[in-house]
Amino acid sequence: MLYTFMWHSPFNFRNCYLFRGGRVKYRILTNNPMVAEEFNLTHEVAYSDISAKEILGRASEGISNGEILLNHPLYGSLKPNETPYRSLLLRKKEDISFTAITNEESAALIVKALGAYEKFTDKKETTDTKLLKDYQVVDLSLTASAVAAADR
Amino acid sequence: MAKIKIVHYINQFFAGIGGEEKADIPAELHKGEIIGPGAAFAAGFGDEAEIVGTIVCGDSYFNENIDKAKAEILGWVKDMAPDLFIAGPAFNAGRYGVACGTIAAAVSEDLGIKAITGMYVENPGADMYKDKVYILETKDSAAGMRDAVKKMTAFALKYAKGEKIGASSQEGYMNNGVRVNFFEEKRGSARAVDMLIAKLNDKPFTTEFPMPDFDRVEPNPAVKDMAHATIALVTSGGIVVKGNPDHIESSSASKYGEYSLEGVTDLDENTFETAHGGYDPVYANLDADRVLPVDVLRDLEKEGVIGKLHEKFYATVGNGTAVASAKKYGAEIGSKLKADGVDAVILTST
Amino acid sequence: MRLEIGKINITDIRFADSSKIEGGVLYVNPEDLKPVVLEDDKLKGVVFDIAKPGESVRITPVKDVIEPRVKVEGKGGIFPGMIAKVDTVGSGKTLALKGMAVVTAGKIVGFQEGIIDMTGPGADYTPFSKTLNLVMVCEPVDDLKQHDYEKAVRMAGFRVAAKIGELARDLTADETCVYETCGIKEGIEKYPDLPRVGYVSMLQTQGLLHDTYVYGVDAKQIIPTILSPTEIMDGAIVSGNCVSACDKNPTYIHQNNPVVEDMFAEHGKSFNFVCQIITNENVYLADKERSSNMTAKLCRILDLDGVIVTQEGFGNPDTDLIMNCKKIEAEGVKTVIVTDEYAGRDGKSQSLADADPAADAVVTGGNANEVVILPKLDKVIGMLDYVNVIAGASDKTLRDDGSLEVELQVITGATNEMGFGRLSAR
Repeated sequence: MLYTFMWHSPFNFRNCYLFRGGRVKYRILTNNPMVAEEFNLTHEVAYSDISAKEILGRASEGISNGEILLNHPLYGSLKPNETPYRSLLLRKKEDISFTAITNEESAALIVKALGAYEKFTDKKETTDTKLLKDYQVVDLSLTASAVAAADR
Repeated sequence: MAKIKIVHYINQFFAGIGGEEKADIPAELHKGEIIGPGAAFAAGFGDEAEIVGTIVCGDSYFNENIDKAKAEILGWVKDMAPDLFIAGPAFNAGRYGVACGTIAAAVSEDLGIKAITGMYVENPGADMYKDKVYILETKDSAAGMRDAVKKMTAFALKYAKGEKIGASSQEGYMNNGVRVNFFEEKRGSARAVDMLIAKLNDKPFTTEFPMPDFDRVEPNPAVKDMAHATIALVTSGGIVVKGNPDHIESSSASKYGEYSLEGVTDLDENTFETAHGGYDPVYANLDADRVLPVDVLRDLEKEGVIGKLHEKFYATVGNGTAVASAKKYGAEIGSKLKADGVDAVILTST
Repeated sequence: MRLEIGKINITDIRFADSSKIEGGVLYVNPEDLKPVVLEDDKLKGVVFDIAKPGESVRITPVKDVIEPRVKVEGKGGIFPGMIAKVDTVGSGKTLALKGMAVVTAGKIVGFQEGIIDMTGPGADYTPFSKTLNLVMVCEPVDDLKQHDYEKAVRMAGFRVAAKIGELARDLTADETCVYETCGIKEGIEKYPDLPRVGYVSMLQTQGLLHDTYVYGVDAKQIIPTILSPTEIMDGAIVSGNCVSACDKNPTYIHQNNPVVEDMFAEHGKSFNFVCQIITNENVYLADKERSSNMTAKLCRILDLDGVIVTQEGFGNPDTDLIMNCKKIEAEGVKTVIVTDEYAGRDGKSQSLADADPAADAVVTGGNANEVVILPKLDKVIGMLDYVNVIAGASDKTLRDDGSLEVELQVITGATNEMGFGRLSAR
């Protein structure tokens, strides 16, 4: 991406620019610092230091304000509560580009995913840095594959 | 090892007291006695277990005095402190099945004593209690007694001894929604191929994972022109012509009724009543419009809000009625209404 | 396409001075294999070990399991697009070393599960307790990124398996099986009265540690396409998937795909097995829609009467599975799906993350949350460092007596969703 290198200024011009260009049509909701770092310069990233389940909750709020989910809220193999990280792509309300599902379906999908979180409750929190890094890497990889799809 | 102690529950019919005419006998305890099917169980148990008491109760009595009957029976069972409680088998007898399920579930939940029962899969007691106690699947009539006792005996001993209970398909109990692993004879891919061949040839097959119950009905599009629509009333609240001419049962209904509303503007206590045994009937009997709102619909008819009220209504009793029966009644009623040119239906319950 | 698989039965594996197969015994000199592994400069060391059925050995964390094969007739080589040219494989003759496997082990990420017990209760659940396993634990160079480490170990496994397969090149097969599918027109003429069926194989394609490759292409970039079911027998599909041990499809299971095997057994009898359709399980919702639409369309264009659909993984792939099933059924094609379940430790939770009434014919590989106690075994190949944090484990996992209390999830192949095992649930 061309403009990746252009934004070292502390001012947050990039969103204005990208919006004007119609480039960024979605935001990335994440609690993964590695995802924030990777996409901060090129995309709108909403980073918070909260739990993965709370990320789903935040997404739910966004959806009730008209946003639409672009990636699936469950992982492909990692179990809910196993990894502390989650990143979700939400298409903005004001954007009009194609999405796979509707706003209502997004809401339903989040509810289902939260149900899966209720099911897997016996994992303990980890503080092992090496392990946390590994979880971050995998979440970043899965998120990057969604971002690549969203940007093509 | 000491013999396993078992208490057995049966109804008036299997105790040899009588049929429907004796269904109102209160619960009685026969300590140390083996009655009716109990003899077959005792033979099956051999030296491993003994029946220490039999409780007999009329089906009507149990269902109509449920709190009292339950408390009394639980008291007796508690005193005898058995290792296992067996109710039935009830086969396809609806009220007996509900009684067996109710009492077995109460013994298990309130007393913490293991309890099982047996009945036919379409017995309304099955749907109500299969997720609360182990219900062994039986044939639909007492002709299947030998088979039922054999299954229940084997399961009872295993359960009472605290052995690991396998999956429903292995042990013969009705699927209770708890997923249990086991090794099949064939590997999964071979089972999938068998299932595909059956499906391709329209032969029966059993899915290994029934999808959650999706019996949802897509709503029809809204009625555009209510002012010219014919509206019908259908209820599971048991409203019938006074005297219940079709003898619709107060629970586990085996039929529905069709009644005329011609010239009727208001249901009153002289002409209509409820057959339902699952709620306090006083207010419905005083004014059946409370369940089947004929009076209001006649008003709407007069005001021109609706075209007209359909001249027939349909009623059954929802109380303990098997889902399969309810579905059948619904489909039949639906096709009759359609044939009569009804545009929309208001369904009322209790 | 017609492929002959010649089976060479391996009855033992021994370390020896020279590598060869003689009298059903595979003799391996690790020194012959080391250079094959270390030709990748991302790896600095490798240790080989042997684990045999019945031994008190635990292998963990397992990455991939591979069956050594060699192509002796016909186009291409084993693992096309990965370590052989991208020729179309699946015809001619291939020799397979039966009764053994190459197992790659090593911790690519900390939370990676994957246990193979060669004895005890755990052995009942994994198919790889029944194979003689040549295990290779690779050591990465310092500070190697997880992506690079995964790739290096994945490729090293294929190279080693191919090298061992080569030892069989001149041997005579103990048994030969022939697999043959027809072209569309040919099949209709040959089996005019048989229903036409296909196999829809869903490939895990989520991202790092969750990827599958088809002729060297990362399958998240494909749109659904058609294979002759013989192509996978030559390694056209390989696994880059490291997590979800119980229901991931290691390369071995792609090579020995049980659905393909069992469909071939009925080919020409109960139905005409037309082809394999491959599709993916991407994270992006629009990809899911597109892929399931394409898959259903292919079923329709091929005039299939029925299909079996298998998935890989849990969670968002359930959505793909149900979408595929729903859309294929909507085309009038009768569908059977194969999955596993996550019904909670008590078996009472909703098993799948998605569901639909169209899925009325389901085969299940069992509840992956069921708890099993794995006793302490004498020897561990690999490492147990992070066993407390893997999926299906908890802080109670490592018990005082050295046994492990874990969910079936951690056991390689326990609830395989291609129906490789006999485990089921009701």
